[in-house]
Amino acid sequence: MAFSLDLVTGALGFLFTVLILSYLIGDNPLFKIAVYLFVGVASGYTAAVVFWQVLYPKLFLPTVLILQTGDFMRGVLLVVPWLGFAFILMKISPRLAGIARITMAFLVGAGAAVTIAGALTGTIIPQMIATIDFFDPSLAAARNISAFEVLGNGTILLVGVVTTLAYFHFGARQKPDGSPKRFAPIDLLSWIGRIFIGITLGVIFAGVYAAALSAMIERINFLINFLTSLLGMS
Amino acid sequence: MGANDMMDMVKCPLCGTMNPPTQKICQGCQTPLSGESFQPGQAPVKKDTGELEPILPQWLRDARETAKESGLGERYQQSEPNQSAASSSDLLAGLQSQAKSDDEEEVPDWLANITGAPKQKQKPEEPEEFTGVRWVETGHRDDFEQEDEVPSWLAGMQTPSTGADEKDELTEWFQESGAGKDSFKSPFQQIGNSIPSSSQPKPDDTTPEWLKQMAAEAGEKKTESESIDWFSQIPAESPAGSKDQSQEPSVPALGSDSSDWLSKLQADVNTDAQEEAPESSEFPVDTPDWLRNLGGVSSGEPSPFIESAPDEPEPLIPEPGIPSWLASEESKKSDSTPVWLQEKGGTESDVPAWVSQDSASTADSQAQQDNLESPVEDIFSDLPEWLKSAAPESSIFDEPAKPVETPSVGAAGPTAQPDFETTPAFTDGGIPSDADGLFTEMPDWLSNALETPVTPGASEPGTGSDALASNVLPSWVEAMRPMDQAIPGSSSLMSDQTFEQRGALAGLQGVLPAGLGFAPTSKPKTYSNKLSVNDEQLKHAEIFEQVLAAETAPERLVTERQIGASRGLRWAISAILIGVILTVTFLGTRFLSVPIGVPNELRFTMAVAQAIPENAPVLVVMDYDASRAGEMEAASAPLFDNLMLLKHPRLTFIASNEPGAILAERFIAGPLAVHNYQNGVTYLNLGYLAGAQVGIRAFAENPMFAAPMEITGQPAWALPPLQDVKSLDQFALIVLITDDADAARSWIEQTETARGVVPIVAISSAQAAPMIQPYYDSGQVAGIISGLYGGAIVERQYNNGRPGLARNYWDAYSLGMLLALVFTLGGGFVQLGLGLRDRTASRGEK
Repeated sequence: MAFSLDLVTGALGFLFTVLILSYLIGDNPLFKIAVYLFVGVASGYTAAVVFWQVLYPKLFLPTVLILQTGDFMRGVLLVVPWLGFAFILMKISPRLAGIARITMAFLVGAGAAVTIAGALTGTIIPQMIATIDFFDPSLAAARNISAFEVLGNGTILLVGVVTTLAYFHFGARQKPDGSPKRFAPIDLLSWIGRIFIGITLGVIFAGVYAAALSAMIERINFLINFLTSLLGMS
Repeated sequence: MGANDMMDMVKCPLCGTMNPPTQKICQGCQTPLSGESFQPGQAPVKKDTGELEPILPQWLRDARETAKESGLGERYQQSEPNQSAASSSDLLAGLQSQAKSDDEEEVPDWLANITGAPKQKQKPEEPEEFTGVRWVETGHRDDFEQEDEVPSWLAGMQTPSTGADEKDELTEWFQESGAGKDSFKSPFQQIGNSIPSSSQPKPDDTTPEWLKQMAAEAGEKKTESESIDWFSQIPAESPAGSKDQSQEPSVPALGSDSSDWLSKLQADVNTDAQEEAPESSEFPVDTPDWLRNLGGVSSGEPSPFIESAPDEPEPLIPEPGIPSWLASEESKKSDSTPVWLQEKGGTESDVPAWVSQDSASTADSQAQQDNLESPVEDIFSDLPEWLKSAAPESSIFDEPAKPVETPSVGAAGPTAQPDFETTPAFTDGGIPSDADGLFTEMPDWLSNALETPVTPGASEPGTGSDALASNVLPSWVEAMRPMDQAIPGSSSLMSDQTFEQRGALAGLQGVLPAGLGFAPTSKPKTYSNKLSVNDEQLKHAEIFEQVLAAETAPERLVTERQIGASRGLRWAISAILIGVILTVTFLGTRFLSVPIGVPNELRFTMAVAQAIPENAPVLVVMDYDASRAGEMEAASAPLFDNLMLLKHPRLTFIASNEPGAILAERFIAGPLAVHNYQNGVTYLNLGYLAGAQVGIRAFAENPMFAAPMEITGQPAWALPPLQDVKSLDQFALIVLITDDADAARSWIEQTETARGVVPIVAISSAQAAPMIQPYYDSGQVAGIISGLYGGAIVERQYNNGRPGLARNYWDAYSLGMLLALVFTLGGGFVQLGLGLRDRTASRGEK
């Protein structure tokens, strides 16, 4: 294996992988060194990406082009990002930080509006319709699903949704001794909902474990490949 | 109580109660004993009274000027550094001395006697400063009573001068002065005593002529110096007449510049001083000559004052800093009686009657005092109140032990003591021929007293027509009249000059006088602080204490034992898992088969992918972290390998997170490197799309505006990968590669309306697949490839094992999942067994 950039990057990758894996023995300075380095590198990389892929192509470059061409009418829209850019920079000074609230208010307002609209049109309504469609035999036939399967899936889905929502209903009466007492049907539904929630969390945990296991396997495979390549065994 | 103690006692100006020197408030009437302000009628204190000089009578001013011109002023000024009384025979010397800083000694005694105000500041701790003069001023009655040395006439004057008992002594004194007794020189003697002099002024310069004339008329011999004759005789006679001089006040020495009558008085005193053993006391250095002459001795000569113990005369050694007129008293530590009051019976002929009453009559003084109590009150009935209180109890103004009806009786008593109250102050023959010219400059009250014909037999005080009435006092005397004494009941208010130290009245003085009626009249009642409780109350108190103790007692909190993984168990699981994966990966085994069954979401994904046209634009969204690159590449590589191999799509990568752009390059250059895709030709990287959901929404609405540039800064939408693509719905397929369910949801939600019928497939991490599954069930997502499991299935079922990455991980992944299952189930069973054991044990205990 020749001394190349791949060797250097591979060696650094090997080193930091070992440092991260050292967390198995607990929090230690080696792990902290690796974490600090990753955080620093990630921050620098993020700053570079933001400048070269956001500010430069979408703010500075258009401005330069407008100044070069003299077509200031096209640059009218650039006034808004420039103002927002200037206002955000006011956060540097505590006395002028209030000016940055204008830009922040704009961003938060626009983001909230976009999020709510997207959630309404992209999640809530489609999911409600999808829950109902589970009981539509025509759709099941279109998907090549039998009626029993559709009925079974729809029933499980309906029970799971109802019981899960019932679990998060925290209304209760107060017993003579002061302790809360749920309404009996709600208490029963919530108990069933706990099962669905448990299963869901178990599935998510399995997925997390599977993802982490895949990442660890990839890292171990990298280490083995690097060592075998370094030792000339491959 | 010794004589010194009695000297230290301070007399209350209001009620006459003797108070200890440390007492600031009278024990009898709660009247402050000392004030710090100067008010009309109050005795001059240590204040700058230079402002009073303009209001002095003309005759006094002239006298002062005369004294200054004759050099007396210089001598007086030279003597001031000694801090003496700085007084000469000049009556105004005391006023001049008031401009000095010394508070105590600058107050003329004669003025203090007249006003009756207490000394502003006394120093009982320094016995050197106590003299017989002070004793006379303060009028310590007890001194005379205890020592039985008080003459009968003084005994009669020891009645408290309070209330209606006080008499107009000044009026009587003037009346008596008109009686014309030869030996009556007490007023001047007192003046001479009250005006000490530290220097030796010449009598010709300072003594008024009228005083000389009066002395000449009295027929007294003059001293060899300029001392007043009759006044000089007093010290000489007093020692001879005194039996116990230690108990009698000594007279201050007179200056050499005293008048003739004073000198004569001194000569008389010296005569008696030769007869008895002189005092061993020493005069201070600054004792003036007139004082030494008064005692019949000079510096270095035996003192004319006789102490009780020593017989050898001692020279007068003045002490620096002590007034000369006080030094004489200082020499006699325990003697508080003036020398002029210590005369004996053998010298009555040359001594004024009031002086001739000595201690020889003290044996009879008590009886005489008892008999003369009431007559004295009658005699002083005409005196103003302020004069009664001003005059010391034992001063010369006090009524002798004689009946009022016979004040002119001369030597009363078996000892033939001169009856001083019958002795006129001025005789007819004593007034010089040029007295008119002298009296033109004298105050009215004094002129009237001299002009009044003196009748020896008409010595009844306050009744003769020649007596000076109190209401005709000169204005300057009236100004010094103590108003608090004239107004009964207000004395305490006026004398209460308490200087407020704190509060809203800080800095003010005398604004809250203590009235007589406000003083505590009786001892406050005392109440017992012992509680009287019964047994029941004690029981209740005990219960209450127990309740309080229970409330404040710390209560132990029952906390559940924190359940944590055992370090050894954790290390064991880690070792097993890592060892198995490391071994399998290192060995590269492939003994575990890939699943054969294909899930529906994966099947639909492959169907959609294989349905796109040839060389169709495909949008690839990269939204996963670098840590998930291994999983995501293994999951997505089979699909893209299949597409690139079969459909040769034009790939356009865009990232909704920062590392997505670089991960896209890694993905192309890594698992898909075999396809040799070129940036800008067969694929395009638009880079990072900022703004999260807003950016995604903007890109969905107008991709050319949201992402105009590719990662290298070239205009993206003119490049071959995006040829004929102007909007989102013009892409043939949208592939979402993400490990975050929220990112997948954002892309699904925000592109819901913009993408139209363009299918979107999700290649997700195993951890995000369950959250994306509902979008597949709802039809919003065409298909899902979930993690390494989905990639392995696609690789095996749809791609003929290419690129083989998932398969390389599959054995380790399968064993890892199996171990996880084992550990999870094993742990569950262990916990179940422990729970059953505990429950069984608890049941057994019950």
